[in-house]
Amino acid sequence: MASASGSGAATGGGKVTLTTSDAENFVVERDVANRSVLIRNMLEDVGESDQPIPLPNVSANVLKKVLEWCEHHKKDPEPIAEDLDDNRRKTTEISDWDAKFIQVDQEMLFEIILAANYLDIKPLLDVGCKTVANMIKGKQPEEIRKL
Amino acid sequence: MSLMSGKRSRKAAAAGFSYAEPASSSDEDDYDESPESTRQATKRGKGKVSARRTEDSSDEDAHPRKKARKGKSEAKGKGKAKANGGGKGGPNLLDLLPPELVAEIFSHLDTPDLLSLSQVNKQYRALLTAKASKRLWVEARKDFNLPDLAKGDIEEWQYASLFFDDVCQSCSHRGAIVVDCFLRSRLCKTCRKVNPEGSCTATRIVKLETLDRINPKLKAKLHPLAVDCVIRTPACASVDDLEYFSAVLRDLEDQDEDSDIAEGRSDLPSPSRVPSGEGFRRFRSRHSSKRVHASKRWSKLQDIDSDIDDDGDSARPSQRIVNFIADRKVALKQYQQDGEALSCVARDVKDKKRALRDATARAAQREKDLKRYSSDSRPAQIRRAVLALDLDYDPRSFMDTPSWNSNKLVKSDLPLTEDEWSRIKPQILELIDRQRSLAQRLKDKNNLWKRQLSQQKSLRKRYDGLLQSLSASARPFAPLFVDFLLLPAVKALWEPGTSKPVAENDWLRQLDGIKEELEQYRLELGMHARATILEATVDPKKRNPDDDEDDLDLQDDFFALATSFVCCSFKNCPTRDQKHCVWDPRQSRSWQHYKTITTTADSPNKRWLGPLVEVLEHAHEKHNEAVCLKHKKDLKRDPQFRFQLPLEVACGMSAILELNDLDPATAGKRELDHVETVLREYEWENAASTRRKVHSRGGRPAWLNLLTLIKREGERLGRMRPPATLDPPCIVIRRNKSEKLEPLSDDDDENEDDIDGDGEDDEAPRKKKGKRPASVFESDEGDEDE
Repeated sequence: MASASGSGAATGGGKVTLTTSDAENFVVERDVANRSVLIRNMLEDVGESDQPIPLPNVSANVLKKVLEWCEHHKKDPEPIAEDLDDNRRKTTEISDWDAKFIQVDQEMLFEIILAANYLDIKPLLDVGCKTVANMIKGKQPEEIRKL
Repeated sequence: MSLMSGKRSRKAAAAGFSYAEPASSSDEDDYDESPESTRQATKRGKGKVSARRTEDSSDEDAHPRKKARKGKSEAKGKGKAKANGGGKGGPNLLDLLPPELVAEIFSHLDTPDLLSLSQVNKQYRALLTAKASKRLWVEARKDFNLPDLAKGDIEEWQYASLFFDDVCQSCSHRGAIVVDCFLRSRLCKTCRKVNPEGSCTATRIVKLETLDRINPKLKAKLHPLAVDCVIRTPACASVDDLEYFSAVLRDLEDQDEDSDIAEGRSDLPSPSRVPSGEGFRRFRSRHSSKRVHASKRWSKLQDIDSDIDDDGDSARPSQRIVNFIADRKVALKQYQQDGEALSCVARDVKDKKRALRDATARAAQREKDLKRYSSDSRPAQIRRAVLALDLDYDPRSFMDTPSWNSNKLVKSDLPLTEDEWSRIKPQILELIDRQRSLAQRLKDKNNLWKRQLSQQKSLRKRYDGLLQSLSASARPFAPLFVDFLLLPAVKALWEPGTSKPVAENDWLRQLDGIKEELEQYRLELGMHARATILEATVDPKKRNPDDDEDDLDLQDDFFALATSFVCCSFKNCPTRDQKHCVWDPRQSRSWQHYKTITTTADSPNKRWLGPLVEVLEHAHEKHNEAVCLKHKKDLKRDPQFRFQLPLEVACGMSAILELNDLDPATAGKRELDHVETVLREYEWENAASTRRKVHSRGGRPAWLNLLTLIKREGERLGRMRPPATLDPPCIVIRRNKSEKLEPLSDDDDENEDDIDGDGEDDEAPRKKKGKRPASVFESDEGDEDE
């Protein structure tokens, strides 16, 4: 699991260090970090490096949450691009674990969506968007205003 | 990816977004394939924003840019207001998230949700009604199999609102909405109603064929060729469309008159500018109603009764108008096709809409239940804690009541810790105690009422006996059983609610008192009857104050007069067809129970309308089946008199008398029935319903059927919110000229010379002595062979 580490250096053996906007460091396994297309691309570009990866758009508490999700989903297969589009749109169903995971206050929810967008974690972004959509679904304009 | 492309092209114009995307980015510009662009997009730098905006808007015309700035400032204002005022809502979605994410979220929504969103505030509305949002709506409507329109002149959101909004376009009434696929209108039933009289100004759809007869005012306002331009079904068209196109045509005429070179002009207004396509009539009506009177020339023409064919050169349509109408014809054909396509799916859409709504409601309920009944919720914890206390009674039934659930001790979000529980324990116990005593009191009350009911039932037989013992002439004036129970002397018998039936001794002891009160009731009834009749038929200014104080004889001639006829005051009496409304607690748990009685035996002497005695007899026969009181609240009321005289019925009656040349001072039921021997039918000219012609039917004379209609209509209007009153009925008589009415044999008062009248009523319409005049006309349709 992601844990804050005081040392700035990346530990070897497939570990990656991420630095958040508030200068906190997270050391995570490589396949957890690979859930993020942004980080994966960056690692591929840079190659093996001990440098921590800066994530200036994500704060520590949000990244912690995101990494929790990545950790849980690290073994998920990559979704195929085409059926992604068809399936994704209509089903607003969220798996139980995700539903529980996303039960946070609205501010955090939006932060997660933004972070997922930034880190390019498509499934997490979907979960977030679906959650927001579910909040809107079936409501009258007055009810939406109160959200 | 479709959604993204929608979002890409969403300009800053759409709403107050914090930055704009390049409008030029193509549809193929995929989210997944181009993380670069997304990454860029998420970096929200001020400088970049402005740079992008200029780049973006450079290829736009000035208008959207203006809009964009406006939207921006609005959004800012909103945000500030929220921050300062600490608004109720949470953070604004649109302020927090970049547009592509908002589009992403919206792409998960169904059409009704999008529509709701577009009504949330200006910001959302601007966003969702922007052209760039089109793809969102198109994607969403695919779920409902709604076809693309051949005549695509309405925006997607307007298309959606036509089918999914639940507000009437004309009167903003919610619910009972009918979507007309051909006329492209979404109106409530009142506004839709094709009113034969056109008296209801709200009616937005009119029958074209009968327009000049029923709504000449509107007809005069319209351009004669407007009918060719509007979307219409074979019979009907929308008033708004007619007015709009009248204005357009007149503008064309105006321009042509101004310049002699009209023929050479070619700049026709676009034939596709159709008001009825717009989703929200209110936006348009302001505009179009202004234009209706725009043409001065038209008002001139109106005076000389211009008909396009008769009037020769002055009203001959110019070439431009002919062209315009030809263009419209093509457009109308497309509308027709669209209408057919839409009507095929309309039912399907309705079903799906309902299914969707049900599913959402179920999901919401499930979530609520989960929250409430999950084992670690606070209510559940309190429940367990209370049960663990092992009280000497079962507290379960006092928990989970509405007042329990809404109590803030239970509802609170705090977790139930040991400390918390010890803090709230006494209050919780008190709450339970309160619930308990409340429940006990309610139970006692119900038990008492049950015993009282059984005692009331035991009185029914004695009441019947008492009625029999009265003389036949006095019997109708006795109260019905439900009123009898409320006489003070009788009330004293059952009100204590002892468990045994009322004892014979008690009954006998009270009997004298009861008889006295019956007599009293009879007298009051007479007074009340007189007052009621006078109130409805005599002008209050002319009323003689002595009348009320007269000691009256209930059998006197006054009550036999046709003008003194009263109605049964029971709800739904007279009932339609053979149904008769009775309340019978033995048969039905619901208080209002309809029982079908095969009534051919509608005895002519016991009708719902007639002389007082007959109406009272009718009430005894038809409405006296109850064996106990209906509601607890009946306890509080006094015995009632079961007759009334609605003003419209009084008006109708006086109109009938006048039509038949009967003298209101002498005419009674016999005379009315006598007239029927040659009468064909009455026609109620200003009836709102389609049933306007009345003749004798089912053994009932025509005058009675007519008044039945009038009374029902009056009641219907009275039930409306807000209650309306019926216009004074305007009645025409139709009778066969060849048949002469034989004078009534033993009645020499009757003047039968002028039965047919002379086509016109010379008398001024009789001023009704109440509030409203009954305008009366007589027309002879003697030439009809019947």
